[in-house]
Amino acid sequence: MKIIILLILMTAMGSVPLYSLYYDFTLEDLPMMVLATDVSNNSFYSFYNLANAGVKIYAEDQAYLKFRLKDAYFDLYHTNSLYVDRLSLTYSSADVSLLAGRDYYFEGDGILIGNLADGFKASLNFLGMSERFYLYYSGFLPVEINQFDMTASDLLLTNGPNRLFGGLILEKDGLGVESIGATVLYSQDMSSNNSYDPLYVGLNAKTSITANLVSSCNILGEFGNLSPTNSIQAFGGDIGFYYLAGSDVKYGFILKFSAATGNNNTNTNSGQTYGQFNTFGQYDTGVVLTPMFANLVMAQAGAVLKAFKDHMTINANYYFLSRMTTNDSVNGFYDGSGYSIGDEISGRILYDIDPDFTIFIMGGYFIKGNAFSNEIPKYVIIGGVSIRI
Amino acid sequence: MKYAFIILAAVFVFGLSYGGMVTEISGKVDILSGDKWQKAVLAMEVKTGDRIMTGMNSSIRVETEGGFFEVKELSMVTFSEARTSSSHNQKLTLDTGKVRVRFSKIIGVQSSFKVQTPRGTASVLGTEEEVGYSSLNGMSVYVIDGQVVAANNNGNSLGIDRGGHGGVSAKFMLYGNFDYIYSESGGNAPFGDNDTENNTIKYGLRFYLNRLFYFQPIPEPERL
Repeated sequence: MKIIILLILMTAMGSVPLYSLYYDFTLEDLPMMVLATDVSNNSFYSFYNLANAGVKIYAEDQAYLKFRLKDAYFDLYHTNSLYVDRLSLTYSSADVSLLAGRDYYFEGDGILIGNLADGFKASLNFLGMSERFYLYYSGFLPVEINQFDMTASDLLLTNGPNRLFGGLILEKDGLGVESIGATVLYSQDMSSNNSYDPLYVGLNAKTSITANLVSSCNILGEFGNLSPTNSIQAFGGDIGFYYLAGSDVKYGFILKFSAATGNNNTNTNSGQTYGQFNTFGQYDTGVVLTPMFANLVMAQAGAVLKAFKDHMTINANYYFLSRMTTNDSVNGFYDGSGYSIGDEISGRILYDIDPDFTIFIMGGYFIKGNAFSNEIPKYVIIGGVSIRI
Repeated sequence: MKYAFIILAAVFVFGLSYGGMVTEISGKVDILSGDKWQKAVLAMEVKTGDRIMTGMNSSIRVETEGGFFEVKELSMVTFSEARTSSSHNQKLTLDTGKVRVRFSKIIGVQSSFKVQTPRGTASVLGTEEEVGYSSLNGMSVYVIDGQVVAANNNGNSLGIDRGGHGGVSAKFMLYGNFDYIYSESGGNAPFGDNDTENNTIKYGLRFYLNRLFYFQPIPEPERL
């Protein structure tokens, strides 16, 4: 009760000095309606509400503490969850940038690192390049926002997966392209679940082909141990082309091709090498099915339109999804025998009517392929508003 | 061109030290020269150390040796130059707002034109550019013609070609045309604090539908 009174007082005061500190306090509510199909292909609709109460306390221009409480209510199950989804300290200077606490840790398009977690990130600028060090952990996250599940048995962990990550990224500008980066990331399974302890190594290149057209490429290798007696040797990557033109009204296109190896080894004995690529990042594989970036061949063609001084954004995407092999030894996600996962058409309209009021609708329609035993299409439509004070 | 000729003539004939002359004004523009703020007027001299402040819907153009600079609305800049017999270096220190610079190398001397912000510097290499700065977004550079080198405060630099964007973020990160196009075209990763932009809604639903479903199937009356 005292906390609520304090929050109301802070809201009423707005952004004011707190001794020598300054803070911004924000209350936000996102009421939404969801119309979709569940995992059993049944249609449902539900009210879904997210509410945020956040504060940023600035010690100086580039040092601040971020704290945000989130409440998530999903009417269909009558579940309400209240948790801390941001609690972090940030400091930035010309040579060093530090982030510690609960926040998003991500690199590029999130193919490898892209999660909300508790951790530490240091970004340095020495020796003519950028060095980024990551250490983050999933075990303290509330299960509602723990997105580190991989195997089917992870879904049965009451408190969610419990994984520790450590990695280093070196990025150098120039060298014939706009930048080249090298990544090493290790993940340790800390739960009592069957362990999955991968070591990733990767290369990334980004370049401008023209002033309006750019391209990026990721090549990743995955090694390490699976259920201590077996090993992993898998590969993944993507190449994307991005075009943008216009000034008052901007329009752009995306063409992207991604691939993650599957596992051809059907031998379940110990001492085997498994070839299915898996990452824990939140890689974009669509809106409806959102399969993990594992045993996947994906092509994405998208368009974007930004108008009204960027206050309105319209996105439209097509995804082609296919398996690389029909053996999903790690995930067991598909119940059909074929390669084709399916095709998705999805889109989003976002309109910032006011800095504190946004209206949005997003959704997608997914036509299943023969990787599923049934052909019942799946869909999701989410419409709502964001109101901030 | 007329003003450029007058400036050149003044410099060579009278040995004047001023660096520029006001040639266009729109709206409310003030210049701090010495310790006195005064309203900007046409043909006014802009000397090293002078500070220019523009109001809403206001702008000013100053012709300098080698080109001109325009200070856009709601901006604050300080002009400075260092001139010797063999070099002529001009600089705008941009505290906030946006400037447009056109600069051509001055024949016979080593010359440069830089726009400095609290996060980084844009060096004009015989070209035309727009440089913006805010403490929230850092320094942004748009190259209208030619090439510009953007550098952050620890010396890392990146060349930006004609039509390209780049700059230094509020967190001092240097970014080039790739990052701008990638982000604006929707290719960027949906991570951040904005729930309508990030993955919170999508993955929140996935939690309810994939994980919770196994423990709590959807009650029949709620289905369509």
